[in-house]
Amino acid sequence: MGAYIGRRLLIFIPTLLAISFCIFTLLDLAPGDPLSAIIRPGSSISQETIEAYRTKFGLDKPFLLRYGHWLGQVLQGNFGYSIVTFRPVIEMISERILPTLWLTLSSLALALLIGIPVGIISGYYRYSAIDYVLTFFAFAGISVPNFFVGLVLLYLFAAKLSWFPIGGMTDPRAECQALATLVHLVLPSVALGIPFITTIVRYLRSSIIDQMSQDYVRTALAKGISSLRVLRRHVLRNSLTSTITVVTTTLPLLLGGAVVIETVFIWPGMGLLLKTSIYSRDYPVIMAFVLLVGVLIIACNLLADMLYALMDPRIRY
Amino acid sequence: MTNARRLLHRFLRHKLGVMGAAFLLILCFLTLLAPMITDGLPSKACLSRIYQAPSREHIFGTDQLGRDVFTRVLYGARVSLQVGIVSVLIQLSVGVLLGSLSAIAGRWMDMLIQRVVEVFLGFPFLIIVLVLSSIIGGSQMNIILIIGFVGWPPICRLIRGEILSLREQPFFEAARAYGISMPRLLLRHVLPNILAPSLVAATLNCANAILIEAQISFLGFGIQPPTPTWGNMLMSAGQVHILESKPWIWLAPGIAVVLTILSLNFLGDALRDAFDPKYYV
Repeated sequence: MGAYIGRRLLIFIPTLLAISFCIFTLLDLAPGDPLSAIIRPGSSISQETIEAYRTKFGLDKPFLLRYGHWLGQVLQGNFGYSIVTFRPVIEMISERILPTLWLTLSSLALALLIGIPVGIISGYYRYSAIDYVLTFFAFAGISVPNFFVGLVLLYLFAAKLSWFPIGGMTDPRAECQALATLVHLVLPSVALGIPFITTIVRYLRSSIIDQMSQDYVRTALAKGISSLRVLRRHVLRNSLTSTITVVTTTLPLLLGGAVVIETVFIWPGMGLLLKTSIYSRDYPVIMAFVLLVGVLIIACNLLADMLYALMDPRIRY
Repeated sequence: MTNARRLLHRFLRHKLGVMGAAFLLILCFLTLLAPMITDGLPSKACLSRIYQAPSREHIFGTDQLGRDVFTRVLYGARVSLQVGIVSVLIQLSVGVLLGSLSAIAGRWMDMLIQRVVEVFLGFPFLIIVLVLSSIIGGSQMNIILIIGFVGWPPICRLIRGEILSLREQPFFEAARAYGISMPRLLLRHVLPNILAPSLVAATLNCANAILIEAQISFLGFGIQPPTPTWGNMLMSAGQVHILESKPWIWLAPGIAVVLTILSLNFLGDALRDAFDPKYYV
């Protein structure tokens, strides 16, 4: 197991390097450099001063040297400074991690709580009326863009019914901050979770249908074991294992949805940070964000492998 | 029954797929006729009629600048459909090319292409498109190119799998044993077999492309106002008073996105069932 994980990590290093190189190249090709972003147009700074600063910051060096320098700093944990707020990038990102973590984890919990039972029912009663209804909703779930779900939720439950706040994460007037945050969390996690529920339902359903047609199920049924017991003791064990693996590897994809959902609900997480950084072309922040997503993908893939080995005794690395 | 009739018969049994196809046909028709049905000026502001609720004159109402929402939804459909169709054509060409190259060349070429595919598939699609559109700018052409050149990996992987499994089939072996040349083999035996899965994938990817464009424009990085797109029309719902008391402004483009994507997904599902004999044993 240890050796396997080590090997996987070794494969991921070049991948991560390739990603960082691509992004660095692309950002380098983008018009303007960090200095031209800082200096306001029409300001009285002379060309010589600008050149002096270019030299000071190493912007006049060749491309590969600058990439090497940047990479060296990143490996030491220094992601540089934002060219808009002038704060350390690492600081800006780390204060946004928790809100996004709350948001994604609660969507994940919601998706598992709803998706697993629905997927089991749909797969167990396959091609029945209830399966068709559930499949229809699952289809609707992936077809309705989550930002539209978010807007409709806001319209119905925040604007019209006033059950939930209209956006943001905290309420300065609230007595209990944790409770206020929880209330603010409900609508965005539903909006972010809906497409994820669909993924779980569809995967679990097809996995159960697949398992139910296997020989071992026929044997178990022939021995007179009730089909519910077969489902519980044999089929679910196999299907849930593979479903949870898929869920783990698709977890980073939630971050894409988070950009949109955090915008709709003005949730101060990493998605909103990425949006504002892209808006102001804050390249150091964008780079750090992309690298972080890369690391997250690797971590989730490793986690999926380990979960798989834990849950399925047949797997040996 | 001939093959085509059997396909049509199977397709027609999928009620939701037929409904999806019908909706898409109507939408295409309306979009083409847009200059005739409406006054043809989706961006014309008219401050004497702002925020009008849906009425006989403006069936979807008017927006904050007094523009007719129905006209804007129809012109937005033009953008969405163009983005969907053209970017999927790019995805198909790149995906089929690299997928067959990967399957046929094998070895290091396969290895290289599949690693690239993995990286693309692991990354949130929306984030790649966002970062790229911030670098090269978010015109309609750029959005199409980005979605086209970033979204090919699923098709590449699909085509590679199809060809690899085709190569194991006896008929393929027989054809090779007859000494049929590689180009002919590809054209006559591989192409017809990968046509069906490609068409299904193209339909589903088209839905995804439209969704991505809507999200990018909604975030404000895609196609810029005053050109109407469903995404940037939804942006106005960011203002609380519009969200709360003028829902027609954002509901109309939102429902248009939902119906279009739902139709494409149902259509893709129906096509998959129609092409796959397994479903009708």
